[in-house]
Amino acid sequence: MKSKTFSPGGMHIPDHKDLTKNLPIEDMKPGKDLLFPLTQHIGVPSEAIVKKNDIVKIGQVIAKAKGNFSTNIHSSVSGVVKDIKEYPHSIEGLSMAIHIENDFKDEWCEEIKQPNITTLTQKELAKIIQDSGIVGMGGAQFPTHIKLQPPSNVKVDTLVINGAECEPYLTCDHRIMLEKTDEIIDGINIVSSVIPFDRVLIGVENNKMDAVEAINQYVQKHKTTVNIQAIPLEKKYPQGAEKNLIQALTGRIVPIGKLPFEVGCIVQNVATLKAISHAVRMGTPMIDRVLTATGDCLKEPKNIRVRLGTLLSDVVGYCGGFVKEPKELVFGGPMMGINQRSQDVPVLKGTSGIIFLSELEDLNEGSCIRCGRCIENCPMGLMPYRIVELTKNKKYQETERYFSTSCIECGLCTYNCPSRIPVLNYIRTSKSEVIRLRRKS
Amino acid sequence: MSIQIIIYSVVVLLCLGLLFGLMLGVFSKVFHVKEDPKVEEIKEVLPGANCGACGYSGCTVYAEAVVQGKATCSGCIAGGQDTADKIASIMGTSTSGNISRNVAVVLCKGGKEESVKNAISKGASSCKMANQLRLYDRVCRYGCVGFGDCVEACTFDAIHIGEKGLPIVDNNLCTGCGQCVEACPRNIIKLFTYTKRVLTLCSNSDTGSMVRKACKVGCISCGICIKKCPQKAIVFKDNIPVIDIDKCDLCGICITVCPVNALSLRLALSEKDE
Repeated sequence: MKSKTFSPGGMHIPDHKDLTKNLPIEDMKPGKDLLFPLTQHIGVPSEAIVKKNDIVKIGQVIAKAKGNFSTNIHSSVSGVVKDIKEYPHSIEGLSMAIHIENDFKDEWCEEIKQPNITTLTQKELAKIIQDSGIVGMGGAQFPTHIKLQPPSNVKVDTLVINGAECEPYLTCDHRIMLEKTDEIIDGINIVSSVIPFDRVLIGVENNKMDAVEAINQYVQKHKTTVNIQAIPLEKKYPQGAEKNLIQALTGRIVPIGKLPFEVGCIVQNVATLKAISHAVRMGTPMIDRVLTATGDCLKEPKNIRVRLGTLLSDVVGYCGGFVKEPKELVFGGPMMGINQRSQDVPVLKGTSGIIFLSELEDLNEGSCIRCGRCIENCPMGLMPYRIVELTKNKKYQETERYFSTSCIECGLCTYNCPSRIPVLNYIRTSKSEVIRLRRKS
Repeated sequence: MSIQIIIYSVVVLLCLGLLFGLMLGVFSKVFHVKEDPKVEEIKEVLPGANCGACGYSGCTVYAEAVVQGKATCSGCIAGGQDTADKIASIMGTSTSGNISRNVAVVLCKGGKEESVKNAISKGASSCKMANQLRLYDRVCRYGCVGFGDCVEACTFDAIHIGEKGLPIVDNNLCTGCGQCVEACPRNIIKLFTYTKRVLTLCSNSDTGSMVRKACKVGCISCGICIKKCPQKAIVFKDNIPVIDIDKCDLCGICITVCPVNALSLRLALSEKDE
């Protein structure tokens, strides 16, 4: 079968996946201290409902959703609430967080029991998902229940499942597809029982052909009500970006500034579907996730299932410590991930990988030589160098004419720049400035 | 090429030139705008930096506004009392009195050595970018990030990044126009009247233990200055001591007792700045 892909833009970058791609997922025991930031999703921060010195158990809700655009947060260990104050956060820098000290008893909350569900309505499923605190686990942390409630005037016919994992180094989705195929398919069945999809397309890059075969074989063996198909995609970053994945799989193009609903698609990550299956079948909220701890500094790179809130330093300890002093410490993939300043940051719901790199890229900015590589590789078809020029001259509002707000921040422009201009940094600056000015007016 | 073509083109060009010259002459007479000579005179005495501190987009616009009576004579902050007097004499009026002279002060002492670092700063080219994308190397969330947006913003060449990696304001050149105040994404540059006064050169409003981790010279809100002040002129505001200039008698006790050396005497009119 010929592999599909999107155009224009995108490119294959060395993937470094060999470090961990054949290692089965290991269960990591939680450490002593765990942090649960109140902002673990896009939207309104959750509201803490526990107090200092409260005793909590696994699965207990410790922060409640504030409004619809928010989700619950659950304790992933049993123990005592030590404090609720500002702690380091991998995305925000600092954020209000609940500090829980593990008592190592691993007691489950009594409220969690296997629900007896036969049929679900769309509203009920959305309620279960919001209560279980499920957000997009690919990295963006978008609340899943909102994605599964498309406006009633659009017809959604395709469920696009993101198993592309186009970021280098990361292999956690690959391992989930191989080891938890049944749970992913179950998650698809649950979602498609409330939204009538015509087809379900699972996009997997062709460096993971074993995962494609595993899914297709499983689907053949177990009859499913909906037509599920795993489709190999060309190795090309950023194939896992929502809009590019839809184009690669269905040929439909999502218009600028619009959501996938507009072209009849809903996109979900494989890990999110696994979490949905857990929440509906077993009633377990989101308390753990699979992530890849890797990089050339780590003694034993691993795919591990960690409890949410686990501190980075505990993950390092579990992976045998460092062989080299890491210079860069990235949460997420190396292209889109966020540099961390300390090892005291907790694992969030969207942390798909932790990467320790010993080499620091040289970023001595030169002048733009108009080679056009940033334009050539931009998956959104933008003109990054123009946005940089305008941002340098503080003409933030004019960058909107070059669709700076449509940038998906894949980072290929910075990666390819021969003058080492941090193009994406400029675009991010102009983006946030445009949004700030828009809010003002 | 025959000589004819050269002659033709020369003649045609000559004719065109004459025609356009005539048209320019006619139109300059027909559409002549009468400009008040005062505008030109006022423009001469203004600093000409187009800093915008007067509230107008540039010096010419301000001069026109003064002549039309829309702006007062003492509107030019950069020029100060001198310029105001000159403008008043051109307009045939007098200024009401003293324009207090403002200068910019950077409320941070955490330079390269004093501030604690926990990252490698890379990929940032301005303070705005570094602040927004957290690309700075220092721990402190309030202090100077040191990329020099204020230096770039200053039209009077009064701010430079010093040896410590902190901006230093030249009080003689600073006109108090406030462009650096606008440019600073951390809001740590503020304008103060140019008199002798004590200032807290720290903007970190975190608690003491957190400041200790971030900076050697950050205010740890210990409160010794408040206790020792004989005039009771100091109060805490957001964990930062604020000195009431009316009560303060410049005894300097607070500066000597400060354990982290965060307070300092600034803007001395008669003495040399420390």
